[in-house]
Amino acid sequence: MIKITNLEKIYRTEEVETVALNDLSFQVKEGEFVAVMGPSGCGKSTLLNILGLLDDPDAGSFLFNGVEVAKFNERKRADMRKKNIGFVFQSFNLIDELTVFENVELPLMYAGVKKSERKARVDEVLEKVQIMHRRNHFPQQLSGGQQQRVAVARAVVNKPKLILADEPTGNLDSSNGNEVMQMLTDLNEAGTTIVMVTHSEHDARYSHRIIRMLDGHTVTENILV
Amino acid sequence: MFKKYFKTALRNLLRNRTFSVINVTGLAFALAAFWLIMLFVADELSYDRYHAKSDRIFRLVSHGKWDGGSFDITGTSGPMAAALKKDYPEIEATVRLDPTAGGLITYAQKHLRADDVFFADSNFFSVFSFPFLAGDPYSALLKPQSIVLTRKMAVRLFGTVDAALNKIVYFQNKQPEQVTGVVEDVPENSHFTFSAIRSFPADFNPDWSNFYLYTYGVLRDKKEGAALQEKLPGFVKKYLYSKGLDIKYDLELQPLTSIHLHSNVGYELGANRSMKFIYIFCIVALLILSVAVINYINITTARASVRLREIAVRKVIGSGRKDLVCLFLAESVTITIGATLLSALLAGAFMPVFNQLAGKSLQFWHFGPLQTVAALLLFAAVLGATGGLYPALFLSGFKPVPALKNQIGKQPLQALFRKTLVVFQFTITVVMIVATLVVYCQLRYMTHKDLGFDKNQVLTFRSDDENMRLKSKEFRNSLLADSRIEEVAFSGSPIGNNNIGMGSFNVETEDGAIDQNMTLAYGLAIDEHYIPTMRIRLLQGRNFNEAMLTDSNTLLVNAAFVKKTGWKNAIGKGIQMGRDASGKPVVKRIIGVTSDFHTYSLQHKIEPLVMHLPAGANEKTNVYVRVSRQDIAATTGFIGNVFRKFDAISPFEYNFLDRNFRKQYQSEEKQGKVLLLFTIVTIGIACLGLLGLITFTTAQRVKEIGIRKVLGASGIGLVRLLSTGLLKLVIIALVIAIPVAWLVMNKWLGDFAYRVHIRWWMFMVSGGVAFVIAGVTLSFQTIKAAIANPAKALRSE
Repeated sequence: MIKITNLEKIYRTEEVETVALNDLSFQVKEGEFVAVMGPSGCGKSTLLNILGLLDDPDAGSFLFNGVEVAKFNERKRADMRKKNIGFVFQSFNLIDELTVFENVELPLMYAGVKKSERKARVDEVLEKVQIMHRRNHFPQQLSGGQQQRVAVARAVVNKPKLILADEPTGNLDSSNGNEVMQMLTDLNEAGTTIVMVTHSEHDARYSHRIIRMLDGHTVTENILV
Repeated sequence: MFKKYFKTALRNLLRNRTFSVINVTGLAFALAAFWLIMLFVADELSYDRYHAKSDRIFRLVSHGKWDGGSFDITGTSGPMAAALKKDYPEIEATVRLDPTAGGLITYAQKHLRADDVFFADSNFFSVFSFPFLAGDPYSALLKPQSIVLTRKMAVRLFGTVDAALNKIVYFQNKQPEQVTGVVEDVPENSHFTFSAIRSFPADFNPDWSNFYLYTYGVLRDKKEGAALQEKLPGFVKKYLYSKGLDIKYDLELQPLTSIHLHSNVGYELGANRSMKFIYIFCIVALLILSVAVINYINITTARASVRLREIAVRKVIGSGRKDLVCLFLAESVTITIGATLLSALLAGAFMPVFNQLAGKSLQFWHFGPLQTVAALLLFAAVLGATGGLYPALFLSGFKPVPALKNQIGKQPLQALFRKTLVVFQFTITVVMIVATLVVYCQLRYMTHKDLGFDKNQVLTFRSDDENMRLKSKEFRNSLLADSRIEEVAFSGSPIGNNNIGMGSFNVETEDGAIDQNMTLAYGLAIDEHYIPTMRIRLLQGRNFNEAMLTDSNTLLVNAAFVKKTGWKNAIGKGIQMGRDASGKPVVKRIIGVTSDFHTYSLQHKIEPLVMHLPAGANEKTNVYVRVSRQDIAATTGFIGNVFRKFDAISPFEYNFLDRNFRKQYQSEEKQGKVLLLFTIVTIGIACLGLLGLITFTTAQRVKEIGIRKVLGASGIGLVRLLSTGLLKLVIIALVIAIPVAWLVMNKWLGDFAYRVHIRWWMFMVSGGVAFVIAGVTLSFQTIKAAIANPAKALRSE
């Protein structure tokens, strides 16, 4: 599903040049659950931003389902993103002004799904993450675990082929963290490809394969399954 | 989708109440001011448009020029109307008005004074559209001695409209007139008003040489106006030059609907305004609105960092820029709709005050309820979309990755843009403060300037009764019997009302010959007591002495007259005052020269003036009584009683001379008051914007303020730190505003013959006011931030 080859990303300021990704290459197959690990500043988040088509590389190739997307413009990237990719963030990133239902509904609205279908799909996914009883609450009225469940629901409601999770349990206690990891595992078992950036060895063990990064490139790959 | 946008927008506004209140309140006040000004402007533009033929009616005015002077007047000669209709088939009808039909109206025991009465041709009511309540518009003025009353006059005289028809009223107690119709009162948006229209007397036969009638006409096709204007020189040649008129004379067609805002010639029938005034009002309305819109733009873009994460998330999960622009536009439209609703309430609440200040009777629902609501909502949507466009484009333009990390950067261009807008706001504010101050100073100057005579403590009234005029000496002595009466004088025309007639005279040159070039001057009949009563200075020669019979052939002139003629010594010089019955020129000799004194208000220059003794008792129509300062009420009561002994019928209606003059400044006073009102609104809105910006800036810098306090910063130092940036912008605005205000107000003052000069202290005071108000506004937040507990700020971080 994902094939990146010799990917490079350099951040430049007036005085400093920081190499975030350096000749990075790897593949992720459809249905895989891959964890990316490494110390702070090793390029994990940059990689995730490029995989999520939020940022573009300076050099190298990025094939998504066989299509070269590295040079896509903003509009094409946005289109590809909303059809294929779901995001789960460490800090949940729910919109405070919207209710649980409306937060989850948002990707469907942007995808142009009809109102009646939106309602059915949001209700279904809220049932799945067991937050249906809080559907009319606002994010600030929920616990951290509940907020992340809503974020997962929002990430999957559009049935994306790929979910990118950036430290999804980073702001949660262990019990809520395990619940979220179990949810991601269930989604993966249902066929969704997952790439997860994490610092947690515990969470990484839920994946099939761990890619370890240092200074912008992979150093090892551990296959767990 | 749009419903969702508005729902989200509403929630966002409710969550950020402080900023929403600042935005909504500022916009609401600005919109209220805008509505009021627009209603005012619409009213001004609606003058005379209610007549069914308004787009085809024109007025004829006269322009004359010769070596000795010029005139621009509404007056035309009597035979013109018929000749025009005869010669030009494109004219459907012509009608003449004679403004000298007013006076005392009597019915049974009721006596009313009405000066706003005209003689008019019989087709007056088929040219102008005044709805008839009784009678027939086409026949009402057919017969001589017919009169058509307005509803108000009919009710005053007869109690009801129905009772008026066919009754006989008397003018000046001797001329019977039959009421042949009653019309609705003349709408306020008319360039002339009346309480009655009389048919011309049967023997009315004006000649070509008297230019005092108002001539109106109706074109068959409104497009014919320009072509007809081209033909008028031929008309002048045919009818006037051929009769010996020896000056350059032009006739001008004025479209009826443009008279109120575009005509400013002598003897206008009402207080016209200038289109310039309307433009100024529209600009003020737009400036006030722009100050409020700038608040919205500034606060919204300044708060971008708060919205970053939301913007990024929306983008990450699929929102395109268009969706975000729509969302932010929905927010601004929601704000403007909220502000519009509030502004409607404010405009309604302020309407009576505004009407009083502007001298209008505006209605909020002037355009009809449905139209008003539709216009308001449409305007709110357009304003919201316009004002919200820049913030929407700005906010939706952030890239998702740095936005997710709250890395907005310093945005130097945006900051500069915001600062520019603040400077613009305060430039407008300072210009408006300077303008208000200059208008106030000019008004004060006009009401306090030495007019060349003592206008205070002079009571003036008309003497309508012929018997009283004949007994003017006895009347004067009766008044002087009371010690509170200091002097009594009579004159032919009132001063201070701006309607003394101008005449043309042939004056003696230095070599003793009579100059054939005419000299234009005001003519005023005064008795021998006028000069001492009014305390006018005699510069040369002596005053009239009625005991000397030869004084009826003498004149007084003012210094301006002497200056115009270029005489070295005016005493003894002759002025030709028409011809006697045998056709011999009547030359009167100057016996005295007075200092210049104002007979018109200060918008007008002092013109040459010729004063002569009244030719007979009938010329003593205006009485001037100088009274002492003690117990004015009792004194006026006494004068009223004496008046009643000499005139048992006419109402005793008096005015104080200083108030007569003051009345001429009503238009400027209204302008001043309206400007003051809108200046206060502008200052308020600009300060709301500052408050919004400083509230946000302070909130953003809570941590910095905490750290600075921990490191030993003083409260004053922190207030200075937070306020300096914005106060600097106010100072820049002052620097820009000074030349702008100087230019604008110098132009405004250019309309006055006598004016104040713009002084440096006016800018100092205006700048000081703006600076202090801005400083006080900023201090609300900065002091609060400076005295806050730093531990709390650091803990919350």
